[in-house]
Amino acid sequence: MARPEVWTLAELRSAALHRAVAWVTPAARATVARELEGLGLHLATPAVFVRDAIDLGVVESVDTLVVVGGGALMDRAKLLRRARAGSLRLIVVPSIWGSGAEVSRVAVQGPVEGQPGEGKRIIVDPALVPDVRVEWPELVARVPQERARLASGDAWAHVLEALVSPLAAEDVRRDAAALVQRMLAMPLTQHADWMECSRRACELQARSSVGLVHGIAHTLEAPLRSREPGEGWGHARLCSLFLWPVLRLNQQASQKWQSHVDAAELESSALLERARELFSVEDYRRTLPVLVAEWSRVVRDPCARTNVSVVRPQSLEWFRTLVP
Amino acid sequence: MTNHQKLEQLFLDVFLIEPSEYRLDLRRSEVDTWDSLGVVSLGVGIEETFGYHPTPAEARALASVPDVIALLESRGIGFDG
Repeated sequence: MARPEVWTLAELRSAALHRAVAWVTPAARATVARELEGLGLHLATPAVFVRDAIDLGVVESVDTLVVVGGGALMDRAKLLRRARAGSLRLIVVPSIWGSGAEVSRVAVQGPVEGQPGEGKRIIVDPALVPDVRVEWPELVARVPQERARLASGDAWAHVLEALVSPLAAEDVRRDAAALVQRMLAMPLTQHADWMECSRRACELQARSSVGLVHGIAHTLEAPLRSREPGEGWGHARLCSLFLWPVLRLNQQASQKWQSHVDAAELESSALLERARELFSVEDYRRTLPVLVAEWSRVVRDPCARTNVSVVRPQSLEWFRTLVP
Repeated sequence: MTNHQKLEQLFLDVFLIEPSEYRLDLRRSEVDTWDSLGVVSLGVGIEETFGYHPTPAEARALASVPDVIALLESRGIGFDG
């Protein structure tokens, strides 16, 4: 499997970036401007696509795109670079862990603006793997505590859905079990190992599948953002929120979930306890009406169709009655 | 619930078809959602409902309701009556 070259921040600083555009998440913009000052980077505003910047002549002859941000921003850049048939070098600098987008050949294409009902599409293509990933620990260390918790939940959803995926081979289940053991020893806050663990979790789900947690997150993100703009409804928050309900649904709907957990020599109670720590009753009550409204789309989502238990139209009742 | 009824419910749930669309001679080519992901989901559902885990090759080879019944009968799961 193709992997990006790994650079340090010093190597990024010494690279030829005079024909580069940087696309930076707002939270890291000041730090990037300060640390990479003098390199001649053009910092595109987050609202401006790099394509627009090029077309508008903001930067002539752009040959490199530097992306500093999380999974959504990296995925957008990966898809843009793929559309340019490899003529653009892509350097990614993850500002948070969780998605593993910095190493994966998977990208999630968001709904087209103005068409939130279309949902998300998963694209798998080796051409999506970035050319370079930069390790910048100081940048990641500044992640606020709540974002750190949700990013950890994203990684947990990846590894647990890979562990029990109907498409996972034995080596994937074995690797996932080892990673789960390691992650159980880590807090749901800042930890030096999260970036590496989330990369591994992402690689495991790319070798198997994700399941209903991702089916729900991908379906609900756009309607929730439309209904509650500015409330921070994003992928990691939804994966964190629905991990515990889905684990419990799988546990009661199918013996397969328990048999995979037993085969991995894991304690289901420990997994459920960790997932429960990521759950929020308040958020669940806010999302439930949207889940009900969107359920017919959830059951058709490709991720839901590779869940460890069959996701049925009547499975909605489980979610309706979970929290009194 | 008889095994025939269980199988019908499984098809409705996995392929999201209406009861009026289900027939005992229903074929894969007639069901839009019986695609590669449908193959995975049907395999999961067969194990969940009947306790038999089809191999990937067996799941891929299923092309009709009679195929599913024949596979399950070959594993001792009866569909008489």
